[in-house]
This record gives sequence, C-alpha cells and structure tokens, in this order.
Amino acid sequence: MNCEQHHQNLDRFLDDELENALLHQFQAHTTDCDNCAAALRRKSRLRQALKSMPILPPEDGFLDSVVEQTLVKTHRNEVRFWSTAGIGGAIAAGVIAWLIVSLPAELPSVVEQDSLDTVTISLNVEKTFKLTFESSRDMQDATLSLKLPAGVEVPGFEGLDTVAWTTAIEKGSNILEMPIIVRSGDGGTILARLEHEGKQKSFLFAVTVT
Amino acid sequence: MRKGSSNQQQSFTALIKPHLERLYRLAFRLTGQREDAQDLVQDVLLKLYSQLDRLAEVDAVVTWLSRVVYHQFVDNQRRYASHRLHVVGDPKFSRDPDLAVALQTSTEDLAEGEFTQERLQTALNQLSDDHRLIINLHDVEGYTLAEVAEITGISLGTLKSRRQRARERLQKLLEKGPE
Repeated sequence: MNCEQHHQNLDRFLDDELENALLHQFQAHTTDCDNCAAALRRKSRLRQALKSMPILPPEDGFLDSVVEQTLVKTHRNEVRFWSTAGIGGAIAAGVIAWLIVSLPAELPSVVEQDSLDTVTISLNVEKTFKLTFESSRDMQDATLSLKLPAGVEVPGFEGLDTVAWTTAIEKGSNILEMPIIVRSGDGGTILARLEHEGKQKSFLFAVTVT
Repeated sequence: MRKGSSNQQQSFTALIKPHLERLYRLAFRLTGQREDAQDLVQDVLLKLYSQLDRLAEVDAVVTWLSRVVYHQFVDNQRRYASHRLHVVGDPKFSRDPDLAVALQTSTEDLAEGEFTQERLQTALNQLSDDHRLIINLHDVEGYTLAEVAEITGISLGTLKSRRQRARERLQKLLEKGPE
C-alpha cells in the first residue's frame, strides 16, 4: 500500500470497514510511514472531537414537565401553534393579541395603516402575541421588520430598535409568534412592515404598560 | 385516543420518559437551537400520544422514535418555512447565544486545540443541510448508517457516498478556516 492508497482508506479504517487483507496492508503502511501515521492520528482526533461536540441541555425541568404538558394539551384537545425558529426566548405563557392581516395579491406600493390594535403588557414581563398573515400567494424572500418604540424589545435581540428578518410567506395562513418585553417607559407604537419585490405593507399596533 | 384515560397516560409516560433525553439530543442536533429542540420534542410527543398502541408494539424503539423526530423536523421545516426567520445583516444571531458560550468554554479542554469545538461547530454550520445531517447523526451522535437509513428513509448507498463527501467537505472547511 502506498501513501495515496493509505489516505483513501483512512475513513474506512476508522469506520472498521476494511477487510482483513487490506487492513493488514493499511496497518503495515501506518507503521512504516510517519506522515501517514500522523494523518491517521489527525483524522482520529477529528472523529473524537466530533463525538465530543457539546449539546446545550434543555431548560431546567423541561424533561420532567414536557410529558405532563403533553398529557394536559392532549386532554384538552388544544390546538397548538408553533413558535418561530430563531426568534429568541421562550414562548411566553399568554397570547395577548391576535393581529390578523390580509395581504392582497399584490402588496400596495405605499405604506398604509391596516389595523391598530392595543397590546397590554406588564413591565419586564415577556408576552407573546401572534401575527397572522393571510396571503393569496407565495412570497419568497420577503422582509419582515419591526420598528420598536423606546424601552420595548424582542427577547434575544436586546438593544435593537429595529429587528428585521428575511422570510417566505406561504399562500394561506402564516402565523408568527412574537415575544416582546417592555423594559422601561410606558410602551408606544410598533410598526410592523412586510416588504416583497419593492412593495410593502405596514401596520401599527400600540403597546401599553399596565 | 385523543382524550386519554389515566391508564393510557401512565402507559405513555412509562414508555416515553426513558427516551426523552435521547429525543432531545437528536432534536438539538437537527435544529441547533435549544428552544427549537424543545418545541420539536413537544411536537413529537403530541404526535406520539395518538400512536400509543403502535409505540407499545415497536421493537427498535429508539430508532422508531428517532424517525418520528426526524420526520416531524422535516414537516415543521416545510410547514413553517415562512417562520424560519433569519436576522438581516447580523449573522451572530444565527446561532444560539447560550451554545456559543458553552463552546467557547469547552475549547479549553482540548489538548492540542487543533479541532476546537468552536471551529468544528463553525465548519458544521457551513455544511449543506444534507451533509450536516449525516455528520451530526453518524459521526457526532453515533447512529450507524443502517440506523440513519431507517430514520431518514435515505438509501444506504446514498448515505455512504454522502457521508464521504460530507467528511471531505468538513475537512476542507477546517483546513480553510471560517468563511
């Protein structure tokens, strides 16, 4: 076995997939060739490092409570809506507002206020509201942005007064769960804007602090 | 079996609890985020409850449960594709901030620092979804190729060639450094 053949069989050796004859040749070459022996050690360390990749444990109590939660939810035959990936922060206990926005086949080219609803929230208490987009067609690479008043934050994106995502809106109902938290002040108005292919749709809702 | 009797609930709890940690691990490898992994596990349990009779009869429970997790993950990705949001212009939010902390501290444990876990995670994040899946399930979590085939429904031959390409790509990314 030469160095190239040794290199080609590194993974098969580490996977225990080499047949006896080839295995002996591989081992003999490893003994004779310092470079190939080093390559094998390096590959082996990589495998070991992969096996040691850390995992972020679940939140305290999650594994104990998730079955119970399942039984409760199933018993109540509740409809469950799923959180958005990457939005940051746990889903808060209460849904405090449903904002339903119907998107026309073509988004208007000017900003208009579609709905103004009020979300009531306590200071420093995370709450989740849901935005439902009813779209008449698929929209790839749409941009959804939230412009937040002073003191209002999206958990996970602290310190940002504007948070924006690229997303795809599917034909039909699209539900976005959005946690917010008021850190200071008495709330204000949140401007949510959806932009797609140069057109945009905006809507406002008020956040008041109890 | 939508509304469970006490016996059903006890059976479900007894059957599922020993596997919860493993389910979470797989969910975390698939999603890369704690919150999403927890959501996925919750999603799977809700589905499994309606399949309690089937769950009780399965021989290879871990593989079967893993398959349910994987397919739920794929379904969620398709169904909620519009909700898989990415922060515009700020890639630092694309990774769980708590995980980043864990990775930074764990690198100190590596003797040579050649394959620090942070470097590895960065390289893994740069792989395609298919390549990351096979590396995560097979090389990281230790599922055999046959189990991965059972879980994903992908043929063994495809998985073998995909595994090889994924490893080569990972090696190149590690040699090249972060993009």
